[in-house]
Order: sequence, then C-alpha cells, then structure tokens
Amino acid sequence: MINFEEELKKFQPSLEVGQAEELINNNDLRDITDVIEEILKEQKTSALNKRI
Amino acid sequence: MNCPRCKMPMEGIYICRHCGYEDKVAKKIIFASNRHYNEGLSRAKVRDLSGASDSLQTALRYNKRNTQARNLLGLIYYQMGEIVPALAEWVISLHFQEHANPAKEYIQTIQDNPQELAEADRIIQQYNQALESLKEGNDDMAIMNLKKAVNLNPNYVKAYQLLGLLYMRRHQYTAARKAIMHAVRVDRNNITTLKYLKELNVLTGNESASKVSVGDRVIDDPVAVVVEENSGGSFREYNTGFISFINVLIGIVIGIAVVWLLVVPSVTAQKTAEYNDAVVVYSAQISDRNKEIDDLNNKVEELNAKIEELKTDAANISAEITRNDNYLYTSIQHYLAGETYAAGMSMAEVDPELLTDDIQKELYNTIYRNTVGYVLDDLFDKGVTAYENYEYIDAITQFKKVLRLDDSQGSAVYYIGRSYQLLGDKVNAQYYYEMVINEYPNNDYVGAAQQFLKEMLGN
Repeated sequence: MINFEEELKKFQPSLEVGQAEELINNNDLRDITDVIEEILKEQKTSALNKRI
Repeated sequence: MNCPRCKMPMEGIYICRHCGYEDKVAKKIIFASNRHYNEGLSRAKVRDLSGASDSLQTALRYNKRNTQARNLLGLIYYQMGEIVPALAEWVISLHFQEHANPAKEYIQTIQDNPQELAEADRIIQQYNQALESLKEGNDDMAIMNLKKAVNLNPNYVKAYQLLGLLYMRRHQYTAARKAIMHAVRVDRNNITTLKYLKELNVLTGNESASKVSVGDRVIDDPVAVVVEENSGGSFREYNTGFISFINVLIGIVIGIAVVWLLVVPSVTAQKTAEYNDAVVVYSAQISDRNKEIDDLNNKVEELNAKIEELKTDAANISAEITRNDNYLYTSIQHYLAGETYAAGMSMAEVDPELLTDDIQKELYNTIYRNTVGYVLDDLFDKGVTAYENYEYIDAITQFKKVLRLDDSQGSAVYYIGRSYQLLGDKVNAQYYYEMVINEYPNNDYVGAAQQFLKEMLGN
C-alpha cells in the first residue's frame, strides 16, 4: 500500500530554463577515471606522509 | 589521465596518440562505457526511457567523454519533457567535443525557436506551481495545473505520474488509470509508474488488468507485445517466404498500376505526338510525290504531243518528198519526151534540198541546166500578172517557183513580200522584205521594200 504523503514528497520541482546554467555548473562530471586518479593521488600522498 | 609511459594527456582514448602505448585499464573503462551506451540505445528504441536513462548515466559514469551517450541522454530527457536537463547534457557534450557534434544542432534548434522554449518553460512552471499548490493543500489547483502541463506536453512523465497519484488519493481511479497509462506509453518501464499502476490495480481489485495471458502464462506488462499462439500450443511460425512473395507480388501490382496510371498516358501522349509528326512528314512527302507525278505526267503528255507532232512532221516531209520525187520524175518523162518547157515547169516544182539520192540530184542538175532558160522568165511574168490582177496567192506560188529555179531573183522575193502584205500577213511580209534588204542589197526593189516595211511596222 502506498503512503501517499511520502510518495508526494518524492516529487521535486523541475528546473526552469533560467536555472540551466546552475545545473550545468553544479553537475558532478567525475567519471571512473577521475575516481581512479583521485585514489592514486591519495595513495601517493599517504605514502609520502608515511615516509615523513 | 596521462599516458603512463610518456605522460602525455589521454582523454577519452586508450591508445596514446604520442607514443602509441595501449592503456589496458582505460580500454576496459571505455569499452564498459560503450557497452552501457549500446544497452541504453536498445532500451530507448523500445521506449524504455527510464531504463535507457539509467544505462546512459552508467555509461557516463564510466566515461564522461562519451558524447554519443550524453547526447542520447539529453534526447531522452527532452522526450520525457525535461528540457533543462536535456539542454545541460548537450551543453556539457559540446564542452567535451566541440566539432562534429550533433548536440550543437539540438541546442541551435531550441535557440532558433524562442517561443517554443518559452512554452516549455511555462509547462515546467505549471508543474512546479502544482507542487506549490499541493504544499498549500490545494489539490484542485494542483490537478488543474498538472492537466494544463500534460495538455501542453503529452510526454511529461512526471506530471502524469503526479496527476495519477493525486487522482488515486481522491479515489478517482478511472482518471488515475488514464493518467498513469499515458505515462506508461511514453516510458514503458518507469519503476514509479509501474508501482502506481500496480497500486491502482490493488485499489480497484483489478490486479489482472495489467497482466496479459499468453497460453498458460501471465505476463505482468500493461503494454506487452503479444505473439499469437496456434492451436498446437507452440508459437506459430509465419511462412516468411510466402509473405515475402505476397509482398513482392503486391509491390509488382502497385508498380504496374503506377506505371499504368502515370507512365502509360505520358508514353501514349508521346507516341501520339510522334505519330502526328510522322503523319505530317509523310503527308508532305506524299504531296511532294504527287506533285512530281503530276509534273512527270505533264512531261509525258508534252513528249507524247511532241512525238505526235514529229510523226506529223515526218509524215508531211515524207509526203513532200514523195510529191517532190513525183515532180522530178514527171520532169524526167517530159525531158525524155523532148518536151523541154513542160520539163522545165515541172522542175520549178522540185525542191533540190529534198532530193536525197545522188542519181536524183544528178538528173535534176542535168534537166535544170537544159530547161531553166525556157521557163524562168515565163514564170516571173505569170507571177507579175497574177500580182497585178490582185491574185496574190497565185502570185506568191509563181514567184516561189522562180526562186526555186534561181535564188538570185531578188525581185521575186520583193513581190512575195508585197503579196503577203496585201494579204494582211505581216509576219511573212516582214520576212521577205528583210530578205530583199539584207540579201539583195543591189536590187531595184530594196528601197520599196524598206519603205513598205517602215510603213507596215509603223502601223
């Protein structure tokens, strides 16, 4: 049985045309390559910290 | 990411353009992204827009530079009535790939239609206004705004879902089903929509409404594609060869009909025109031929007339020769009988030009020499007598006999001309006058001939 009140809360306002720029700027464009790079970078940093 | 070997940037590729190094990890990532893109494309083709959206978002999480996936995701958002996320995806797509990118065209199309963009914005505002009304507890206003939104954009899935949910809450199940089924038609595998549909079926006690029976099986799919079964319990295998044959046959019949309706009249008209042209050409040729035939017939007639004329001339000449010969023979007879005068008179009738035989000519010359002296003066006198007696025809005959015996008789020529003039025959008169003037210039009658000729021509 659906809880109508809870279900209605899931509906969020759609972005209007004027908010397109905001959406583009806030878009998380990271892909798996970026994530791998970040991980490698973190590993490198922690390895350096350990040496210090 | 940079190339592990040469450290040059490698963006969206797995083989380094600088050193040719193949990055196996990058390769796997790009391949995974492409695989999800293909999956998204396949789902989009069967109108599973939510499924396609999920696959494409996954593809982009693997590779944010997968332009095709991003463009398709934009198109799916657009199809679902979400114009702003669609624009955002296309703008980002252009950011990663500036050239040869269809996203440029999509954005341009929207920018070229500012009215359409304003309309899309108004639809979104209607939807947002509906949410505001709901917060204020004004369901009626919310439903009204949602109705406006879906009327303006029949693909607005979220609006249909919300509308269906509100109707369900108000126990207006028929209206709710209508709204939800609209959403299903746009996006057939949307989890939210299917959940509402299932709930609706539970509420209405019609759980089988979205289920389709296929033999002994039941498929829970409101828009299922059903394959018809045959009585044997197995799926009927259509004879595709036969169907192809029928289709080809129908195609041929339609082709023939098209040719008959479109091409044949044109060809017939062309043939008719060619036929008419040919008729004109042949008519002209026939006319020319008929004219030639007429000309040739006229020539034939002329030649036949000439032949007849020549025949007549030949007959006349023949008769004249015969007559001439007869006078010669008569003259010979008289001469042999010692009748010199009679022989001479007969000789005056003979034209030496018509004598063809050498013996005849010799006989003529002999008799002529021996008789001319006896008859010439007498014949001249007879001519003068006849002239003076106004017997001009007889005079002409006598003077012509004189000339036949002695062509030096210019006076005889004058008398002939004068006789013709007095008979009214100007042509012959002129002929003989001119003969006197030109051929007998010392003759006594030259002056008279000139005078009469002048008077005659002056008249």
